[in-house]
Amino acid sequence: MRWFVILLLLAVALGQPARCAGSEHAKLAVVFPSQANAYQEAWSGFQSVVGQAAVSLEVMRFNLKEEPSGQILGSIRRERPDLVLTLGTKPAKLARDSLGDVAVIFCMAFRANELAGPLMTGVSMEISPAAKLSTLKRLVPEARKVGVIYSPALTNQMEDISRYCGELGLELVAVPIESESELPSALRSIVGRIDSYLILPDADIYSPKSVEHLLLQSLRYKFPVIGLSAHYTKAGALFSLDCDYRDLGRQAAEIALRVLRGENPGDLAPEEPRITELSFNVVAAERFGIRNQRQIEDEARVVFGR
Amino acid sequence: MMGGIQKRINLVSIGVVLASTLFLGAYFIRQETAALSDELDKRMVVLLNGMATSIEYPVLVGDLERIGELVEGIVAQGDVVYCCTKDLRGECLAESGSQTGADVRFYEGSVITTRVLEPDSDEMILGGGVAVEDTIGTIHLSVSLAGLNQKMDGNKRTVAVVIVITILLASAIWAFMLRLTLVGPIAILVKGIERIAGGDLGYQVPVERDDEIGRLATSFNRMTVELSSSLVSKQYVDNILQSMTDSLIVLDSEGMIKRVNRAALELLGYAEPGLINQAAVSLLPSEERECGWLIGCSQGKKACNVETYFMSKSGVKVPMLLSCSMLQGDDGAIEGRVWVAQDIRERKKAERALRDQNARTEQLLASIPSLLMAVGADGRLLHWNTPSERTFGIRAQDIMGASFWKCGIELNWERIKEAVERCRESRDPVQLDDLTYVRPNGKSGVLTLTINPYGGRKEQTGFLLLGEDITERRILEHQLSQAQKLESIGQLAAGIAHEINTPIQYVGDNVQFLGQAFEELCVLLCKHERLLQQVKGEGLEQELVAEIDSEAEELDIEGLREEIPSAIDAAQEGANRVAQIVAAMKAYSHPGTEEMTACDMNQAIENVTVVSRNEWKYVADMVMNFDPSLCLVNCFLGEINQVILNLIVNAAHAIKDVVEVEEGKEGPKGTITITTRRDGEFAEIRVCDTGGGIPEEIRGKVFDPFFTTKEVGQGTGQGLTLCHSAMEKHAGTITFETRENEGTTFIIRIPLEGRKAQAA
Repeated sequence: MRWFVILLLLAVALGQPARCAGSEHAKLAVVFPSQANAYQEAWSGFQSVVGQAAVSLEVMRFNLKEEPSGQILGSIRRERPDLVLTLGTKPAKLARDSLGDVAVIFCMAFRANELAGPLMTGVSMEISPAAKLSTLKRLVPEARKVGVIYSPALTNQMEDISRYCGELGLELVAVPIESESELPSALRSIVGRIDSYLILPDADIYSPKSVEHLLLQSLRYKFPVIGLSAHYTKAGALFSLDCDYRDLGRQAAEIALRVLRGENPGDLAPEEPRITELSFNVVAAERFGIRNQRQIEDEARVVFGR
Repeated sequence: MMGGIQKRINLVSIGVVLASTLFLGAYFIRQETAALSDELDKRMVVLLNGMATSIEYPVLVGDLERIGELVEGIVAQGDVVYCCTKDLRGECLAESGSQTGADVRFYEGSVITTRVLEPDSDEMILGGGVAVEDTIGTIHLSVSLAGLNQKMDGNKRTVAVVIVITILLASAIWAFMLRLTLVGPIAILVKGIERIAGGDLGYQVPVERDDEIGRLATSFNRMTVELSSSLVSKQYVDNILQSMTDSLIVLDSEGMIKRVNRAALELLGYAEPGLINQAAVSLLPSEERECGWLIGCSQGKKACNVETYFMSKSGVKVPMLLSCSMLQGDDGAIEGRVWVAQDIRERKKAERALRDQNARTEQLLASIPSLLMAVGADGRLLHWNTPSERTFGIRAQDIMGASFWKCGIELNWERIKEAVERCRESRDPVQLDDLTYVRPNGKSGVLTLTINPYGGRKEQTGFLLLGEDITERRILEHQLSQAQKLESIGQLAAGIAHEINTPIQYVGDNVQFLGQAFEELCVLLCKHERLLQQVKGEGLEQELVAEIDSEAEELDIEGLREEIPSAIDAAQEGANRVAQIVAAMKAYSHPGTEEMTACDMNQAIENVTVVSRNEWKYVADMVMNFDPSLCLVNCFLGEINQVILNLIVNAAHAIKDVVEVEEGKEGPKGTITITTRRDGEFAEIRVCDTGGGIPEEIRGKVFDPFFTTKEVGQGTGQGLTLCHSAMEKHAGTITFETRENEGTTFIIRIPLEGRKAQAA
């Protein structure tokens, strides 16, 4: 009986997918949402870590802008790669919904908790609101009230944001709206009650035009805006925290190596970006009367308006 | 008339300007209207675009309040009277102003927004995404043209004013320029023509321009000048002819006089009618009428210049320089001749005077007994006088014009060339002494030449060589010098004889003593021979022995044995002394050579002290401080000997005057110190005495010929003069330093290398 159990365990172990456990060769499918530079940087970081680990990768590249998603999924199923790497939210959602039998590592995706599963884990692109609010408190110590306008899709996050604000001594002034068209009136309703504003990654209510309107109002009524990326800082936000996309790739590669060496993706919790980079707008800072500009400029990786 | 032209041109010009200005004004107004209209359109397009941009977001989000604000803001613009914004369905979202009213223009623009297809949070952060443009509404504007029309009316008024001002200014400037550039100059030309027409041919139109009118005026002036010159030429030529100082006679083709000027008439003493139509040859002396030039002229020779004579009316021959030229017509035919004759009486007189002067100069030069040669800057001989012919045996006609440097005379040409160069450099005369040459008879001769520069710059300098053959003089001088030397030897002879006498007495006394001794010894010797024979024959006579013994004792053989060698030595010493004196005399009296020779100066001085010993030994001691390093001196030894002797004798005489010793006896003595030393390139000899010195009043005369302070018979006054000449001959110097009652030092300095080296 004991021998039977041992042989059974050995057969189970040998019957597991190969996943390059302990091997130096693996087949990898990587899915890009577009040719944006940020994804290329992340992919470059991923390759550098895998290369250093002396793992030989056989790479299949797919791009959602160039091929239909069904065709991509067919190719993946047919080739049966050891691992699928998705870059961006859209490929990650596609993999989550359509590839249930292949280990998937996502990178640069939003709402990582919704993406994670038994064979899927990765690195999100979301920088915690807590980090942003903490930076706000450090750069603008006199800030007291933070305005947020959000759509129903982000309702779940608001509790966390409120808690972070409380921890930092800030008061959250949050206005839910249904659509982008409500944004001007919602903004008018809180102008005068807030001394800062946090933009959340909410595609339902923010468009380039509405962000432009928001930034125009912030400059007019002098409440600094915390942007989503350096693009926002350049357009008039006081500051933004960006990801280091190359490091996101490296971070995803480290998870992928663990998976290729036998760890179960479902056992690995999704990770947040471990490196953030500050961008800072000097013109906006002067408009808002920020005092310790020089210190912030030294700290920021990118400074606009200097 | 000018006024008429100007008026017509002015009217035409004003008409053209008016038409052009009206046309341009209309064109300008039309263009201005179009431009203002375009500007309004562009402004409205810009206004619509700005409005569309501003209103995009309010329309997008349905912000009617904001849309209303923006519409009212647009209507507040000056020309916009109505504005309305409509959505896609055509429903008015907001409007302002009134559409009523005439003269309005309508504008319409779209409100466009950019929409991102399928936006997600990635694109929010990373940017990008596919964007499309959507039209979300329209904007309608009504613009009043009242402002535009008002502006156009203002422009029209401005144009009208500008036209009027332009016409006035253009007319004024046109009239001014017309008067300045055309009418004025033409008026000046007309005035000039009127003055010339009135007979003022000297009038010149003032020309200060180079345009067509200027060239016209210049041509006009030239024409006036030519006209004037053609009219006044005859009078002008007459004036010239009559004012000529030379005689002018115009002949026709037959040689008949057709015209004579005043100078010819005055010269020849004729009145004009007396010469007109007379044959020109009648003015010439009969012997000139057949001469070559006249025949040549008659045969067609175009021009000639001759010296001839004119016969005056009174029969006087007047020398003339006649220039005969031919007058030819256009076809080349001879139409006549012109004689221009210059009175050359004064010139002839001057030439005669010059010839006489030249003859006198030639005579003067010929009378110079010295050699006289002139050499041009090119080295060719220009003058060679008779003494030169005699001296060198070359006739002047054989050598004149030849190169001086290759004239065939055997000379020391190197010295001459060197002297010529020095003369050319310094432009001062250079003298050459004792220049040897070979005389025509083949014997050697001596010249002295002085080279004098003449002429301009260095390279154009010629030379005048003035010289003399001093061969005979040199021979005489040599003979005289020798005679003087012999004379001095004669003067010294008594002293020398005395000097020789003493050693000769030594010799005589000792020889006499030796003779007597020898004679007595011979007697004794005979007795010794007899004694010897007796000893051999064994018949020895004791008496003989006693006799010999007695005589030997009498002879004092021992004494003779001591005295005879002394006597021989004394005689030998006396003979040596004589030999020394004779050698010194021989050296002193050597006639010497014609060329300098290298001499031992110390030895020469010592010789002189020997031969002159009798002159000084009673009055002075001789101290000789000779410089052993004094090398050989190139000199005429005989003359140097003479100089030293003179100085020693003078020194002895000077000392004798102060020590006052008796003749032939020794007493208190002075000192003669002779010092030699080398001083650079000179040998210096000092003869110093302790005599009474030279009185100050005669110091300037001591070298003068025939000056002496000695008594008659003791000095000739030539000694120091000869010393001075000898030193000059050696290019040396003789000077003295003297102090009364202390003595005198004569200093002579002789170039070590002799005169030639010193001269170089």
